[in-house]
Amino acid sequence: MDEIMRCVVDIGEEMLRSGAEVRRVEDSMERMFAAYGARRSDVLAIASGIHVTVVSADGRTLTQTRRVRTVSNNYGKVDALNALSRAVCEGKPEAGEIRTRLSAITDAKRESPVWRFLGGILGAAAFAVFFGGTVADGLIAALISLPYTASELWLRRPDMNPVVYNFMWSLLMGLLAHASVAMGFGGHVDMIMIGCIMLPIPGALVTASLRDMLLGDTITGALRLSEALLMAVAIAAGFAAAILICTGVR
Amino acid sequence: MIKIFIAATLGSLGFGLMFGNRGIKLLISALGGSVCWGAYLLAGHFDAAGFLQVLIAALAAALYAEIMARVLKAPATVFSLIAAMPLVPGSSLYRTMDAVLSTDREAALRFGISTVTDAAAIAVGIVAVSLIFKYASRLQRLAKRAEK
Repeated sequence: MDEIMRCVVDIGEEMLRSGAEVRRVEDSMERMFAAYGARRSDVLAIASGIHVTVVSADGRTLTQTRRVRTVSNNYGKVDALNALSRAVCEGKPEAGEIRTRLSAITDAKRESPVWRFLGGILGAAAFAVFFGGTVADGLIAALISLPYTASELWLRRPDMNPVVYNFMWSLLMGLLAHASVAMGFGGHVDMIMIGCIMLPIPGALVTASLRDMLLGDTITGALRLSEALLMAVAIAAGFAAAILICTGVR
Repeated sequence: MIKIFIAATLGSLGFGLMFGNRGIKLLISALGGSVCWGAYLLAGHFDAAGFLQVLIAALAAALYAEIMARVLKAPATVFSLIAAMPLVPGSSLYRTMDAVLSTDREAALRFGISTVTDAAAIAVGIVAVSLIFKYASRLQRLAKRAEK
């Protein structure tokens, strides 16, 4: 049971880290424990950690705590982990097999980075045009997305302060937008910046936090909402600083 | 208008790629962007505006996501947030900041309020649909048990 428990908590941790709803994380873990004959299981998941106590079939009480630092949305992973937890409930595989299947999912993120870059390009360019920019504005926003995506892939570490990180990147993207217009590419500096703003904007985080709260997980919702608000302010401040630097006080 | 429509779909496709969706699920989540924006335009055609218009579009995106989640056996989250991406008030956030910089209090307040209400409308729309589906499937299960 000890090894099984470690596997189940690992699955829960990965789900939480990929941006799954807290309710889903708790439900999946409790179902998996029940499948292995636990007499009782208490799972408390919040945005920043998981606490579990299980009374196993042979009457021992086991406890584990996990600290979860970063949440980065990866719905492909949530989907795969969800499928894995269902398979575990039905087939009750050995710990070794769960471990193999879990690492197959977590290692899958080492796929070609081309897709992520393409995602950043499409996201920035399409939204620059969507909010009223020209195709030239979209192309500039796409170019500016490249260093941002590279940083998301290779530079970002879990212990980095998200507020400072987003402020710095918003400032940098704002400066790049002004520089490209000053050099004669693209026409509307505001449209280019609106396209770029969509990349770091915590839209998914705001929705996820309100969803958590409306489903009854108030602590997690409040944590995620305040994080999202701080990030939104940091992003706005970053672009504001870029405007002030480039055009001066109006 | 067609340009904006294509842009909404491509934008959702981009965020689908960034959020780790691949294959058929990527395609379905990108099409969610079109469904969402179609609903937004349709709601505008019937004189809905502001909070209500965003809410209707979010409801449509979430309904689409729940149906696709059942067809493809995946959590609805995989589709709903990406489908609703064209509603995310990135432009309002920018304009709020811009108005604050030019010390235009009236515009700052107007854009600030629409940033907050749009974000709330997206969340309320997605959560409302997911709660309806959750209780519907619970009722279905109870009904099945009652038959036995």
